[in-house]
Amino acid sequence: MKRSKKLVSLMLAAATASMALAGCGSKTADTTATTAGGGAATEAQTEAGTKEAAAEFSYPMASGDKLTYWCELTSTVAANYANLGDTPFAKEWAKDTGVDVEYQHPPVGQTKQQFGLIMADGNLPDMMEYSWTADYPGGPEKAIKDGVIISLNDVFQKYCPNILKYLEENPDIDKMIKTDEGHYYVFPFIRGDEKLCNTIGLMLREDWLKELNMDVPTTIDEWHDVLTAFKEKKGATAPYTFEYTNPQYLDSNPFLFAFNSSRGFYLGDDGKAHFGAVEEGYKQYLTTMAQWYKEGLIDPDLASMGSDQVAAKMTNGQSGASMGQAGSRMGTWISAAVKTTPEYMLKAAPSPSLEKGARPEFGWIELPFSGRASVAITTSCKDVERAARLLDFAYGEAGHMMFNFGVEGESYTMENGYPTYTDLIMKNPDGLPVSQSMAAWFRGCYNGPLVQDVRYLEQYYTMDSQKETPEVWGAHNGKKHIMLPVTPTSDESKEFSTIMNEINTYRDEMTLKFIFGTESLDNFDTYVTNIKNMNLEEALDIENAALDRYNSR
Amino acid sequence: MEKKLGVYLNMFLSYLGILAIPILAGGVIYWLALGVTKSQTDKMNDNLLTMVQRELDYKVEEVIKVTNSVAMNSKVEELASVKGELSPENRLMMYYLYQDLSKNNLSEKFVDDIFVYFNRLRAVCSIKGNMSIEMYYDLYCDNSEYRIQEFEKYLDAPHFWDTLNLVRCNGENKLIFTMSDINSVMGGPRNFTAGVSMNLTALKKTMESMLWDKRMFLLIINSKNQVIAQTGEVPEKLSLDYDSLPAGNYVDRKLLDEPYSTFVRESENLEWKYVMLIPQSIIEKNARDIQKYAMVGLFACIFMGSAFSYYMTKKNYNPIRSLLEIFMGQGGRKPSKGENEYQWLRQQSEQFFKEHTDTRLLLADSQKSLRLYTLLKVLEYPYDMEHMKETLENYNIKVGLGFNAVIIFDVGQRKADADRELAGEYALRRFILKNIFEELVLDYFHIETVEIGERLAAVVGLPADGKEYQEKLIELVETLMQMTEDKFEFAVTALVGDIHEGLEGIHLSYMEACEIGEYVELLNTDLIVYCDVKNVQKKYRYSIDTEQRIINAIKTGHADVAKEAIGGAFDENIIDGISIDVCRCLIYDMMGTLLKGADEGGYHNFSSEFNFSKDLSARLPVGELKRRFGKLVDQICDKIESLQREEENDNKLSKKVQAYIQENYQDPDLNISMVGQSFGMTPAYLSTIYKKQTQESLLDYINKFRLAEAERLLREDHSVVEVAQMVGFRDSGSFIRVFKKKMGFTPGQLKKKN
Repeated sequence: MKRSKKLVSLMLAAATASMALAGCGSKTADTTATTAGGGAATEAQTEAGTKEAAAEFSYPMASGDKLTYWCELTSTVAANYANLGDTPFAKEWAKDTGVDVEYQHPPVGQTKQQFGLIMADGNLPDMMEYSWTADYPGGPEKAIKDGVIISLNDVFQKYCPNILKYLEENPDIDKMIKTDEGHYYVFPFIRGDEKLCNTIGLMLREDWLKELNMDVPTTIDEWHDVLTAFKEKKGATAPYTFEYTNPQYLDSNPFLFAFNSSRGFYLGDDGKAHFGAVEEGYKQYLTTMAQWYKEGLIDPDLASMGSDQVAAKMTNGQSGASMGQAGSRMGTWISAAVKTTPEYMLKAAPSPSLEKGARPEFGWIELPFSGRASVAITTSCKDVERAARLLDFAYGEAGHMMFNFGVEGESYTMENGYPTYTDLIMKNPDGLPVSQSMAAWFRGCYNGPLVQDVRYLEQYYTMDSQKETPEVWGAHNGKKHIMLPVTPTSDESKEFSTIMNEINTYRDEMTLKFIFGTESLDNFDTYVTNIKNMNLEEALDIENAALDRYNSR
Repeated sequence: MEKKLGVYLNMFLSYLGILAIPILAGGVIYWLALGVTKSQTDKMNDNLLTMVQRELDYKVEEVIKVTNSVAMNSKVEELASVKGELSPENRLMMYYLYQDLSKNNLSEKFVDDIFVYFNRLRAVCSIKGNMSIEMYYDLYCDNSEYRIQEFEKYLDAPHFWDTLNLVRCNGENKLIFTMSDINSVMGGPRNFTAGVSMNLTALKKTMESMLWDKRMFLLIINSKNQVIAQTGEVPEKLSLDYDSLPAGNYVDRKLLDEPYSTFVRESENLEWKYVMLIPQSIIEKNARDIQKYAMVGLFACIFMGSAFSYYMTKKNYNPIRSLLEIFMGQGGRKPSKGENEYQWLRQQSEQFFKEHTDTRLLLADSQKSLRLYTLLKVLEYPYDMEHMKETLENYNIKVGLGFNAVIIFDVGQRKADADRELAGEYALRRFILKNIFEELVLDYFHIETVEIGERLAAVVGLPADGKEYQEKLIELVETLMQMTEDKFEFAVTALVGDIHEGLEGIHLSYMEACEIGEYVELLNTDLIVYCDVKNVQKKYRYSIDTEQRIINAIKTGHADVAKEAIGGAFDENIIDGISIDVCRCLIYDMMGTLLKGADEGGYHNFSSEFNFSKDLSARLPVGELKRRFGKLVDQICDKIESLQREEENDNKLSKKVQAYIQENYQDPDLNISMVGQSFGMTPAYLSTIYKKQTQESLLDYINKFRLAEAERLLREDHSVVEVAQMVGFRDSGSFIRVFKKKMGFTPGQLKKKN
């Protein structure tokens, strides 16, 4: 594209020497269209050129400068390695691509502060893995305009045949990973299968259900009965508990979805954005919860619950139901509890509905592209091609296998065309938990710039109750209502976040008060009025405008 | 061999001398290094401990601040007063307290929790969440030392900046700072205890990273002599007493078996002491290592040095020795024992080169002599080129080919005053002459010069025969003569030979030059050119007959005949018009003729009595010359006439004397006196006149006559005695003696023969 542009510029310059440069730029497009006989032809030409170039290229690259790569070190890696570069994964990646990478990690829990410091300092690493979509103030387009990261359109065209191919095959994802202005800005983390998006859901003590001769609850009423039974018959002091302090769980709260509501924005049937926390459904949810709290069905200490306490309560019988991931929560709890309670077993419960048998309209599902753990190339990078080819590797066939399964013969073997993890991963000789041995060998088990493979999850889930979770938790129409990853313009974004910060804080505070019963639900209208006074409409307008732009991408 | 050993010994000793310097330096360096190491280590350790102290103090201070702020939190007080069940409001407040605690935001990895324990509620509010004390214990404080009851009891008790060291079941070590509410400390009811738990594992890791040796260790003790934290392998028997540990750094020998460098710092916030113990031996070991390396280095120096110097000696001495052998093999003076071989070698070499130079000079000298000799030979004898070519080339003689002319120079020698003192002066003149002439000629022609006796011969090589070359040559000679005259004030005679071709030509030219030498006197000039003289001779007629005729005329006193002949000779030469040179020749020849005539006529003093140069000159007209010669002839003839007369008188006297002697020879008294008396003359005068006329002494004549008579008589059979008397001897003895002296035998012997 660039080449042809240059060429035409030259031609023009020769034809009309006195023409102003600005005029030149605007006319270039016209001339390109007319002289080349249509943009499509140029496109095709360029594409052919790219493919040709790709055919010439092969990994590993010739050795060159070391590149720097900034990313959060996930806890399953940090347990055994101080730096991602020490892992077999990083070594294999360097070997396959021929690129030496120096990894830099922010201290645990300080990713945002550290990111802020780096931005202030201006001395950027070559590549940065971050939630550019949500966490860069002003959004990714602003990041490009600020000169922090580079637009990847040209880079993809020139050096990234793999990701181009993937995006061609997955236009919905192509839409997600662009800005409204059509700029690519990251090498994205993409969940490659819908199953991988249904990882959080409700679960409860199967052994108790059996003992009490009860079925897995599917409606709010059934849940009420089960929890009451747990409290009364099993002596649970906090029948239902979950990590209230983890916003992810608040967003994926199935009990709220049961009332066809959401605590934030959702996509209505009208195709517009709605703010759930001011709607009738939210009030119904709060009413129910307040009732349950009052009845002692919900953990009285819910508000400050962290994973440690939830785990303790779920394993020591203080609680009988919770929600969370099938791996890090359900699996961990089962393994921990069976040591003292052999009959202990958890079972996934579907997203509940109000009426029995009805397929819930709302439910939790993650977007294939959440914006998390996606890698941008910064303006400080001197060798863009090297960085781009390093990152593009993961989206190719070999890279996909390496990123999801590690090294063939070591971390996995191909059995009937199915990449099967070896005992090194599944029964680690050093006694590492599966999550840690996996994290050492590949990134597919947590996140990163790659397309996650569902075959990882199929093997990661070892227990039957885990294996059925994608099916159970995915049984709803939530996909229709999940808010798309829209991005407000950089101008709107400041205002938007100011408004939403205020609204969210107030909403969270009031929600607790309503549930705890210290605030009467009679005041819900006042609450709604207050939120509206906080310029909710304006925020909704911004969100809807962004949605329109997204749809027209 | 003995000699060689001596050399090695000398070298080794000097080497040892040099070695003493590094050995001494090594010692000094070791002691300095030990001191420096000790003080540096002390300083380093001191800094280290200060760092640990500052870091921990800072953290503790932070903890204290946090704990204070927690204790002062109004929510805490409110919650502490709650009795029985917690209302939802209480729980909400507890949640807000949880948020408050979380806001302390102690990101430090050393602080892992901040909590408040409410005694009455048996509940804990912490950053980790709100929960019952049991759960808190289970999740965060489970340990084998304190059971839950004991832990609760501990928390129930009043505390003021107390610390509890817990090792959790999972191995995590934490230190819990506790502070009960003020009221309880003051004796009021205990309501809550605020606490901060510090991660000692992380702290220890930091402390450990500061230790630089396995054997050193670092510990923190409090005033109750409890060890708060320790790193390194602390010996079990070590027991520290808080009060008896003075702050500072010193060496403690009592704490443990060996002396320890002890560093003690006091905490600024708490009654804690930071203690670092390092065995002295570690520090000394470092210094000893230095010593060890220094010693190893020194020995390595010694061995390497020895080997190297041995090698160098061999390498350096062997060439000297072989040189020595060469010189000693040539004979001459052998180096005496103990003498420095190098000096000897130096002397020998100097001598050698001096001799070499001398020889070369000598050679050059003889080369020069040979060259001159060759030139001489070429001049003296005719050689053909083929014979001499090689020799000429050898001596780099450039003349010989082509045409050559020889010039002979004479510096004042013609005056024949060969004064010894002037010889040096003449040699100098010749030298000057040689140099000037060579310089003059070399601009045009080749030249070789050679000294022949007192003369200087110059051979000039010319490209061809010809008038112009001849003229050029003469011009050069004249220039030379002018120069010597003007600048050096001496006159030079030059004889120029003709130009001849080839090597033989040199000889020819030389001979010509020699030949014309005679004309210098005659022609009264300094420059004689052969060809001029040669031209004169062609017209010059002065035959030997003419000369003889003139001589005879003069001898016989016929002056008129002589005059006529001289006139004829002049006229003969003048016929073609006389040149000045011919005239000179004729004058010269004529003078010779006159001299010869005078001499033959008995007039021997003519040359000394007559001054030719005054009266005769070629510049005079011929007539005048004839007249002057005629006058000379007259004078000579007159003189000869008078001389002949005088001679005739004298001869009559000697005849009379002889007759007198023949008559009186038998008289034994006959002697010179008797003869004189009889002629009326003194015996001496008579004797002189007689000798003048007869060239014989009178006495000899007397004896001769007597002996001749005696011989005749002896043959006539007269006895010796008779004969003696008969010929006038007084006794026979003197007769025999005189006879034998004159005849060579005795008269008796003569008689026997007969």
